[in-house]
Formats: sequence, structure tokens, C-alpha cells
Amino acid sequence: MDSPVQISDAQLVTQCLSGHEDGWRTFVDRFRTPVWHIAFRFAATPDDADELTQDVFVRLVNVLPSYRPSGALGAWVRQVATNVAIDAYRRRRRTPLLVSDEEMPEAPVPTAWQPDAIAERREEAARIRALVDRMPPELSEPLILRDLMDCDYPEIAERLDIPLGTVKSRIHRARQTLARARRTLGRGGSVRIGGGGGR
Amino acid sequence: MTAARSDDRFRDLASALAAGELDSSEAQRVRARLAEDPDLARLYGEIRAVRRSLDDFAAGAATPPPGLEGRILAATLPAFRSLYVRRTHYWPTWLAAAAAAAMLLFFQPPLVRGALDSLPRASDGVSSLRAAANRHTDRALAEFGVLRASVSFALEDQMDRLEDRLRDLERATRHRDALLAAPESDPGPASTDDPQGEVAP
Repeated sequence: MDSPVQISDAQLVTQCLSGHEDGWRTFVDRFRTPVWHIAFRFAATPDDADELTQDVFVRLVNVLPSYRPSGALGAWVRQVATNVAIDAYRRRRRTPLLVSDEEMPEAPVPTAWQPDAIAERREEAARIRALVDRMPPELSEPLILRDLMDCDYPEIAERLDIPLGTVKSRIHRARQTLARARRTLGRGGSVRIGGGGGR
Repeated sequence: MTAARSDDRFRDLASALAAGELDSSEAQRVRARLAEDPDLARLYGEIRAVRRSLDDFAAGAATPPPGLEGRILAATLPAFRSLYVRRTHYWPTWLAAAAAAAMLLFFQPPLVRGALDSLPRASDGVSSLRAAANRHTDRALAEFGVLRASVSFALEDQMDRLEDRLRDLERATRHRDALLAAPESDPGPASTDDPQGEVAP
């Protein structure tokens, strides 16, 4: 929550652009947590998220003069962070993992369930997140934006520059694909995840 | 609408229902279908489980790791300084000097005011010193004039003495030449008044 003496967004940006290091330190302190959240959802591991968060702030330093006080600074920061995260995600996904269904490598077979329920859910969450990265980017990107970052459909359509109807159908298809993959893993089998399925 | 397309449509609706994206009337329609279609109901349950796992995953990112802020600053401060700090340091130095000069001139802090007040006294002191110096100079010039006059007088006197001596030498030379030119047999009378044998012109 903002303290009463906290400076406004416009004042903070003005301080930064005037070369006040304290202003930049305040900027980093104010936005590191939301940026970290975005980075973690895209990067999937804490180490990668840490590095991606730094990359986001490096970008923010460079594009700070493009901020216009008419908009909320937090929304602008999240927009920049999401764009950097999507770019990084696409670079990371430029591996030959998901060229086609046939070339899909097998997902790791789940290990024995942890007795502790929390640990079990945490492990299940990590498995599902890993499965997301094994889907084609045209499915995983809108799914991450919708189900991990809680973006609305029009925003996703704008970010990814695809029609709204396509966004909805890809997200539904991604969820169904994940559900089937989870079912397969639950039986101790291997999964193939791809962009097939028509539509 | 074919059966296959209808199934696709309800699978999408089941996905939307699991994500809480349907209004109440649509949700009621899908729930009715779920009650009739076990495969669809199973898919719905699995999508809900996937959604819950994704929520769990997102919740795991609630707290950034320790030291993240320091790493961010280490990665960004060099760029920040090169982009924003350098260009602003020319003006503050310039302005600081101007502001300091303005303060000295217009506000006159006690130290400066005391210095300014003492300026007339210092000026008087300089005038006194200059007058004293002038007096000393005049006196020195006067003494020098006397000295110069004395030297000049002494030199003139010496010159007179030298001229007298020179005239004596010329007379002696003429007398000697006359003695040498006279015949030895007729030395002629010698003046007793002129022991050097000088011949009067």
C-alpha cells in the first residue's frame, strides 16, 4: 500500500529522468515484485525469473522517456515487462522441441507422490507448468497470459496481435490439451503435446 | 450443427466454465450438459485440476527471492547513470556557481559584509602609504640632486686642474723644442724668472 509521503508516478519518473539515483532505486523497489511475478510465470524457474526480471528493468531504464503520465505507471511497467517476457519466452522456445506432434519428446514420467499434500500440489503445479512449455507457443503464450497472468481476452489479442476469436479458441484448446496430458501422466505414461487437433 | 461440432463447442464451454468465464445462464446450460455427458464431465474436472495447478504455480511467485533488488540495481545502474546522470551534471555545477555568486552579492553573509565594510579603511591606508612613499621619493630625489651637483662641481674643478696641467706641459714642450733648435755655441741668455726655460709667446 502506498504511504502518504510516497511520491506520485509522474514525480518518480521525473526524478529518474533528472538523473536522481534515489528515484531509480525507488522505482525498482516499487515495481520489482509485480515484474518478478510476470517473469516467474513466463520463465517457470526462479533462476530464469531472476534473470528475466533484470532484463525487464534494463529495458525499463532505456524506454523510461517513452512513458506518458496520462497512463498509470504500474500498467505501463507491466506492459513492458510482459513484452520482454514474451520475447524471452519465444527465444527460449526456438528449440526444435515442438516442431510437430511426431517430433515431440516425451514428458518426464512423474515420480512417486509426496505424502505431504502441499508438497504434492506444488509438485503437480510444477509438472503442469512444465507441460505448458511443451505446447506449441501459439497455444502456450495465450494460456500463460490468461491463466497465469490473468489478462483479459482483448488484451491478449492486442499483445499477441491475433483476432479475439482465435485467442479464445487457442486458450480452450490449450486447457484441453493440458488436461489430456495430465491424465496420461497420471497413468504413468508419456505424453505428446502438439498443435494438432484441427481448429 | 453436427454432433462433432457440438461436442467441440461444449468442450470449449467446459473450459470457460472451469475458468469462471461464463455468465449464469450459460453456466447453467453447460452444467446440464455435463450431467448428461460423462466424457465431458471428466474433461471438465481435469481442466479444473489444471487450472488449480496453474493457480498454485502462480501463487508460488508471491515473494521475490532475497537480494533481487540488489541484482536489479547492479544490472541497471550503469545504464541509468550513462543515460540520465551525466547530462544533468553540467547544469547544476554551473547553476551552483551562479547561485553562490548571487548570494555573495545580494545577501552578504556576515563575513563578506565585514570585508566589504573594511574596504574604505583599506583604501585610506593605501592612500597614506602612497603619500608616504611619495614623500620619501621626493626627499631621495632632492638628496640625489645635491649629490649630483656636488659630483658635478668636483668634476669641473678637476677638469680645470687638468686643463692647467695640460697648458703647463705644452709650454714645457715648446721651451724644450726651442732649446734644441738653438746653436750650442750661442746658448743665449736664460730667463731667471723661468726656471723651466719657457719662452714667452
